[in-house]
Amino acid sequence: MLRAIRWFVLLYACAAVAQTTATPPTFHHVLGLEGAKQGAKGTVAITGGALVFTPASGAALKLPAGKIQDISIGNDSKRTLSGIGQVTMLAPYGSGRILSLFRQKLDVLTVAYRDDNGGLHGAIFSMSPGQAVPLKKALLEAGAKSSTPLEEPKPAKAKGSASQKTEPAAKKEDKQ
Amino acid sequence: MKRALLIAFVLASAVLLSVQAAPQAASTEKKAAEPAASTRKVRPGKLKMFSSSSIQVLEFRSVNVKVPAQFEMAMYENTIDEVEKLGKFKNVYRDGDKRADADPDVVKLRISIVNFKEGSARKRQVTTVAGATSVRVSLRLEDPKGPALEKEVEGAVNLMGENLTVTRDLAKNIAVVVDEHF
Repeated sequence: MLRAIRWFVLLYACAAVAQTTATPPTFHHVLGLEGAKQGAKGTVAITGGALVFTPASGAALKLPAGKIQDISIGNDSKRTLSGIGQVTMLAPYGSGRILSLFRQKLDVLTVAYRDDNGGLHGAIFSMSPGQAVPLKKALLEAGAKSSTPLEEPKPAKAKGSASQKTEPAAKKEDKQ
Repeated sequence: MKRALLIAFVLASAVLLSVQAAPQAASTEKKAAEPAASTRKVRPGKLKMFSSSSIQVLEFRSVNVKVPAQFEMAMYENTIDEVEKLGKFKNVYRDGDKRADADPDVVKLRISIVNFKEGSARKRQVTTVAGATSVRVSLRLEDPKGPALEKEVEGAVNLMGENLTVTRDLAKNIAVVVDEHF
């Protein structure tokens, strides 16, 4: 019994530490952007009337705002200890499931655009809460279209994001 | 005591296995006895209806169902990816691609989302029985010169993976249907 309690306490501490330290300002390319790898981490900036995704390794990819047909914002979440993956399920006394309770909220930006032949593409990026709205706003100002109005940021409960929400988008991008 | 329990468990599992194996053996014997009958039947799933070398995947549409944009786009992108992986087509065109209009040998793949249920990854991982994400679509393969095929396909993520994984599962199932009919 004592051993089980020790395991729970240990895993709880690990998850808590991971939640407080893991505040990645990076963007994840989920899928859809031509030339970018699925799941690639990188930064996104709006420069010269285009969305520029710069992966951690590799050349920057440009998507002119004029080609963007629609932008929408959604929500998702991911496991806080995503690196360990399914290994946590093997932790004794079912304590691995405790880790599944710790999830980080995410903003998801979906960008529908047309290529030179008119073919439809859908690029999906995930990012920390509160980052999608300024990005969408900047894209609309650069000439992108959207079928939905600019959503107001929803109150995000993710830890460590409260101070980020009040900062302007440009500052956040500089941090990356 | 522990050893006795272990022996009892091994014996019980051996008995269970032998009970399960008996009907399987009987069915394989039956199959072997009737090879001609089974080859004569044409499996509807294996019927080749289309012979086009190009396919155009049209944008997913949802019928009376609200689907988050990221899911709709992920389904579309993953479907294109899976259809390309089949290696059966010279060209896989996207929705709105001008080159498809000039190609006389294109089959169109129209997909409507009929049902969508966004589950919870947290619930799935904690309970392993609740929180499934599922999607059901109606696909239509249209040959402008010939036949059309309509079929319902499903995708689901029941235990492992994030919610968006459902789009990959659906795309794989769509690719199976496409593969069977070309």
